[in-house]
Amino acid sequence: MGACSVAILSVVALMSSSSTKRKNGSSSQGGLKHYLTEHKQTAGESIDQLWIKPFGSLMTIFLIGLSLALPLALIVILESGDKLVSSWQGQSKISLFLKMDVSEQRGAALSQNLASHNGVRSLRYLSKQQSLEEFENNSGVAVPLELLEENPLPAVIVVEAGTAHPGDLERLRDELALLPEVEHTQLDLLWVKRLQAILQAGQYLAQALVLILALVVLFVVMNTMKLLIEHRRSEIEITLLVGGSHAYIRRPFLYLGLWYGLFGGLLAVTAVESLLWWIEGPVASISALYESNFYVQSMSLSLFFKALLFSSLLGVIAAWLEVSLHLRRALAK
Amino acid sequence: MIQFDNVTKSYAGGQTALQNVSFELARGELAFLIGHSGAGKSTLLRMIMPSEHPSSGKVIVSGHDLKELPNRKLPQYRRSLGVVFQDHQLLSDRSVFDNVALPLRVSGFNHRDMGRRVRAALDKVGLLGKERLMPDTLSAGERQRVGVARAVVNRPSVLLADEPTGNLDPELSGEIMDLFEQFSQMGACVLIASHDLALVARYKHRLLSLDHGRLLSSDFVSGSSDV
Repeated sequence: MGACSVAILSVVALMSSSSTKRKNGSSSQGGLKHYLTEHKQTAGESIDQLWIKPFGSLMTIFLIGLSLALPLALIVILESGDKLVSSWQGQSKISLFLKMDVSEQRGAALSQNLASHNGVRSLRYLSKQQSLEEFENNSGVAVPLELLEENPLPAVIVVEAGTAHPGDLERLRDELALLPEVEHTQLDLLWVKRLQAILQAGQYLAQALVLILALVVLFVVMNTMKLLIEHRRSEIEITLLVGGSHAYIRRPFLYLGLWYGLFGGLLAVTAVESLLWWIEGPVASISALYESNFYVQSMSLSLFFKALLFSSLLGVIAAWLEVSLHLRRALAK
Repeated sequence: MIQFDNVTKSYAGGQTALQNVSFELARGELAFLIGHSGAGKSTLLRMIMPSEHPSSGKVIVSGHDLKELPNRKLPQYRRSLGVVFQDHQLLSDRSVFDNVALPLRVSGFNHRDMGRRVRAALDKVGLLGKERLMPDTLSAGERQRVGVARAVVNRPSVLLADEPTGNLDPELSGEIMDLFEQFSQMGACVLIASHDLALVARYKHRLLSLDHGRLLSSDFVSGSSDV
């Protein structure tokens, strides 16, 4: 929320810089009420400006919306993936395969001892017979014991660890592997790590996309502003000649930038939510087939507001840059 | 109030618009700036606005050396000026009221005072009742009067006018000139660029005569059409 506060303050500072610099003494009347009325009027007039060229405005809003929708969708999907990985990590289990010569009594006693271990949340002991039954149930294949001399499966203790951290899990596995009754341990974290790495790469990709497409939005809004400035060139010149400050000239354009950014952001959010709604069913079906609890989450409220704030800020910054460039060029003449 | 001190303005191509121009206008003084087309009248006015700066010399207005005036102080300075442009320079998508109110809006006036002052200015130029009309629906003379109303609405201490009666009939020209005289009597320094020598001759005011960028004379008109 710190970043949000800074962003809000930046927008407010950009918008209000004109009135704070007024020094017209007796003519600057009405104080805060007048200041607010002035801003309300400019904000209203700038909304009206959108309707002067509705097609152009819609095109700009569409471009902003679609540019922002892509990284936003990626962020939402990555957030869902991240939560899934976290939930898997929370269920991290270590399988301890006992030596074949470990008796049932010794195996059961070991599991009782391990239950009081600090790093163990819970455990389940599977005797050789139970291991065989579970294997047959899961695989659907009956083991022809009559052809074998004895049950080839070892007894297993399935330990649910009290930690989700991969490093801690590995340490616990190494410790349990040293037990004399244990033949082999299995902690299958590799694929979780791979998925996590993919998600992390995805996050970098999303950040890069945000940066690139933010630049696209900046240029789109700046170009729109350039056309609007050209359209209102004489108005700007006259306003400068009658004593309009740069901040006064800039203000309606900043509001326009704000509206472009805000409406573009709303379009992006709507597009992403529609996309999520559209893929929700198919993703749930695939997830069910893999017996996974993965589902595409809706956008969080915090991300929703961040997206709108970000797009609005982009619009304001683009407008500020373009008008400032124009005024600098006008002064240089 | 307005002081030109050896002002020369040359452009990159070597063209000289003003050459060693020096004069002073006091508070409450009204002067005409005359000369043929291209004599440098508009350049001289632009240096007071200031939308141009001299190549050499100084322009001092109300104590400000305009070349040294920082950009951040320019709006405040310009609010003390009233300018009537030859081509009106009205905003075609704004009503008469909004056009006249523009200098007040940028100065931060509240709506009540703005309305009062705009109506008073429009009354002075004979356009009261036409506040809601758009400039395109007005005659050239009416548009010029809107420009005059906008220039005087902020009660400026310096009033500049570039051919303010160019589109007006003689009667209305006289009324506008009377208005300028009233402003000078109220303490404003008024400088009017005009090539209407007949009109200029009707008033006993100082005459700044420019020819090819040089100030030929800075005298008072005798009161007849001998200029």
